[in-house]
Amino acid sequence: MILKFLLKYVFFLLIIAGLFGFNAHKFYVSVTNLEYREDLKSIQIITKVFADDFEDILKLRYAEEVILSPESESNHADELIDRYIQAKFKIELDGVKQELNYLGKKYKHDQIHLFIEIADVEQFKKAQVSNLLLTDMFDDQKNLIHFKKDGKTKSAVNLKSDAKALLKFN
Amino acid sequence: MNKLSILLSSFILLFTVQVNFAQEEKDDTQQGKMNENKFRQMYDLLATPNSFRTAAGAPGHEYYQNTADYEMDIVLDDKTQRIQGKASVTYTNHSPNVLEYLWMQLDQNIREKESIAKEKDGKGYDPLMMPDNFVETYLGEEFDGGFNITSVTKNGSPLPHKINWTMMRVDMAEPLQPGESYTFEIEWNYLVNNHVTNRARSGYEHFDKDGNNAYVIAQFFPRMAVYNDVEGWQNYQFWGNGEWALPFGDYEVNITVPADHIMEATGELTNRKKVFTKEMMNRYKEAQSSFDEPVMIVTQEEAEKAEKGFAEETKTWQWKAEMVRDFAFATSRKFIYDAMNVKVGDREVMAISLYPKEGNPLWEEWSTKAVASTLETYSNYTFDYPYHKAISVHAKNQGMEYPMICWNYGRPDAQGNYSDRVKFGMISVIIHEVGHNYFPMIVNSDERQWGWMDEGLNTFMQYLAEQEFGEKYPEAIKGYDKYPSRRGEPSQIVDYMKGDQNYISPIMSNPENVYQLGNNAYGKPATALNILRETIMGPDLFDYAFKTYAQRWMFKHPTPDDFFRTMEDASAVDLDWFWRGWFYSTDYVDIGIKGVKTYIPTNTPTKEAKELLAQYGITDPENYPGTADAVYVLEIGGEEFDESMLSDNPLENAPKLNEFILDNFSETERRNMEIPKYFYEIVFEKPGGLVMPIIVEYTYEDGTSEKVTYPAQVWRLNDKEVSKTLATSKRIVEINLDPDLETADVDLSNNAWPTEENQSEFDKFKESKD
Repeated sequence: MILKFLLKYVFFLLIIAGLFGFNAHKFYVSVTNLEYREDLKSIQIITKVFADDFEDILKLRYAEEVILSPESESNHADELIDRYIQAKFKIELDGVKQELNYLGKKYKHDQIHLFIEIADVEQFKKAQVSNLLLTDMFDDQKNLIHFKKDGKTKSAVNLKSDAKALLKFN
Repeated sequence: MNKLSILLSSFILLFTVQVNFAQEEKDDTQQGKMNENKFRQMYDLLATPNSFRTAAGAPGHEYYQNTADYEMDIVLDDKTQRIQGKASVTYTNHSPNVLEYLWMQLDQNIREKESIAKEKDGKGYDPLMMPDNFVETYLGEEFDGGFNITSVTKNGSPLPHKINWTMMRVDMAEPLQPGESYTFEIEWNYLVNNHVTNRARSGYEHFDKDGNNAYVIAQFFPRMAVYNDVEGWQNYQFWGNGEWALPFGDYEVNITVPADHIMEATGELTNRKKVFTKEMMNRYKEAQSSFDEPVMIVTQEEAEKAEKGFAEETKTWQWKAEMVRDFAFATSRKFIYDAMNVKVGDREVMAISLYPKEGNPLWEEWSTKAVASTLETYSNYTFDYPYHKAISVHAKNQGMEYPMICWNYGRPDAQGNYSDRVKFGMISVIIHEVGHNYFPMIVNSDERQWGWMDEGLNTFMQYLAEQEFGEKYPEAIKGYDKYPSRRGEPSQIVDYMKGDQNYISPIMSNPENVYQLGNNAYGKPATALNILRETIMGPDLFDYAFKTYAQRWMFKHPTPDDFFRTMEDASAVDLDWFWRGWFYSTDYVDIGIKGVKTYIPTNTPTKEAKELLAQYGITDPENYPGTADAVYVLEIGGEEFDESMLSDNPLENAPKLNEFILDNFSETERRNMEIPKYFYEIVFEKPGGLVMPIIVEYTYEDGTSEKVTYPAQVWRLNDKEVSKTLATSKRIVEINLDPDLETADVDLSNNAWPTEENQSEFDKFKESKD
């Protein structure tokens, strides 16, 4: 049963990948706002993703039925989201890999806002952000990054084909 | 403000301007420059007006457009998913020019095996690949969906033609003279793609469970390209993003499908009695007099029964459409069909929905109502819907528009459950796609060149239509205070506009050359128009101008210039700065408060004033006749300020001003006069490149507040910084910029005085969790 389910989705994924056509009114973009809060020694992260795509990728990767919706959310939704974030979202500060703590989420319109925190962060000069959420679903997924530190914001884009963005703060 | 405070404010202003001027003189020698003023008129960007298109933005007295009429016979083979077609095309040259050749569009060729569109993007190797993916990518058999053009003839003789990928040149024996028509015949066939697995704007969905296909078919025939005064032949190849440029014309189309199919298409069904059952005819008549609730013409029960049929015989549906720019149809034996009538002005229009049972229970409830509501809203803002029907067809995963008919997503799960997200997603996409009937199906802009002209205007209108839908059907938005629109509100475009400039293009870009088509062609132009309507022009002026544009260009081919010019021409609002900033650049809005100074009036000349006056040779201003009675302003907390100067009587330090008031105002006037105690100078800065009005909310010590808007023109002499003065009798305790988030300001941290540490969204979330 599970095997069949998995195969179906793998098939779906394969066909989408590598084709040039696109859906006239659907675009694959997420936005991530990161802020270094020196006063709290933490990096506060809010990632906004489309809920339907996010639900689909969780089903696809973990071969489990999951519903992401404020009215009828699956019990294990947060557990799967956390697992997915740990797999696809990586941050290094001055070359040191950081631990991302997924705190929870909020639903807004057709999007989900994911709240993620990195704790005990001392001052740093370089941040390498690699947010590959949903790029395993859509080749043309674009993840926009805005990193605010000391009143300045640096922006970048993570793509499947350009997975790491190095942001320098001086 | 009363007279006196105006008097004082203007003094402070004059004073400030002069001081700034004096500082400028200290600068070293500077280089000259071209006109870089953000308010300069757009002569450098707009086309020179002519007799085809006027400077007012209207069609000129020699405006022309060519037409293309089609008579077609189409046969769909459901077993092989192949379409066979033959057409007689009549092209009429209304231009003053002789045409040596004609160009047709072969859009399906983007799906041919060797299509170069597959190589349009750069791509690296994925670090790992699933074995199946590897096989698919490197060893697989590719889908071959291009057109096979089997014959192009004129009166039975072969006509020379040249196919250049998605374009075909037809070489006539003699050039086509102005005013003449040319009729020729084409035969072709192609393999229809599965639009679910092979993302596309046309195709079929296969239902494994019952073995049926649901077809939503478009771009299925070679279509004439547009020839006009701005592009010549618009034969820019179809690379996948930029949609279409199509001439208007009349269509007669016979479509043959399995006999048990239910079909809808662009145009009037001329053999309804032959293809509808008696029962369907009766219900259709009933629907024509139902204005509140849709009438089921094919019920779910009937559709489920038909699903099992797989008829071997066929039926031909005959369609006739006038003044349309394209033709599309949907056909399947799975379709449920409902309809109701809607009144638009003095016209009656049928609102129709087709959906497989998989769309229920959602589609039967909202689709047709969403169609009807959209026609009402859009007609109010533009023109009465001129066609006799509008159809929403359910297709998985896609939203796509054609004249009178469109495909829309939104499907419950296998158990028939759906979330609010699915419901609103579906209603929104229906509103959007039905709305496309106005832009670009009737106001027929060139989509190949300008994606935003239809998508941006339509997404803007979609927002208004969604909000009205919520008001008309409160039960549809239960649990929300208004319809949850995804695009249109200024705050929703901020994340895009503040982004990495390497990945942002101006709105005025070809759809192939943008990084984020959704934000570029839909979100940003829709938001810009919303801001224009709500904040810059006001709904009255905007709506009149927008309607003028729609009516001027109804059934014609407008360009961006025609839109920009009409919006100004019909409103007397100079918008060149707005178009230049929002549409031609990637600048963003960021306006902040740099500082606030408080002054009191005094008759004692300040050091600054003395220095200034000295430059004019006035060394003893207190005794100089012209300045003896002058009022000066002294900064509270400044060098010359002394705490003792603060008093309840604001005129204590300015006895001469006091005397002036006594001499020039009557007792009654003085009693009603509120003498200001506080004189503020607020310095606004503009780190963002976009020019916008400064919207300020001043909050006073007694808790009252006042909202003031300084026009965008305040930035015309200094694009970085501007000061404003305010004389008040109450102390200002708080100043907030753009308090209602109307301008898409990307950085709100400089919008308040005194600077306050607002709890961030993140902090609030974390607190709610603890």
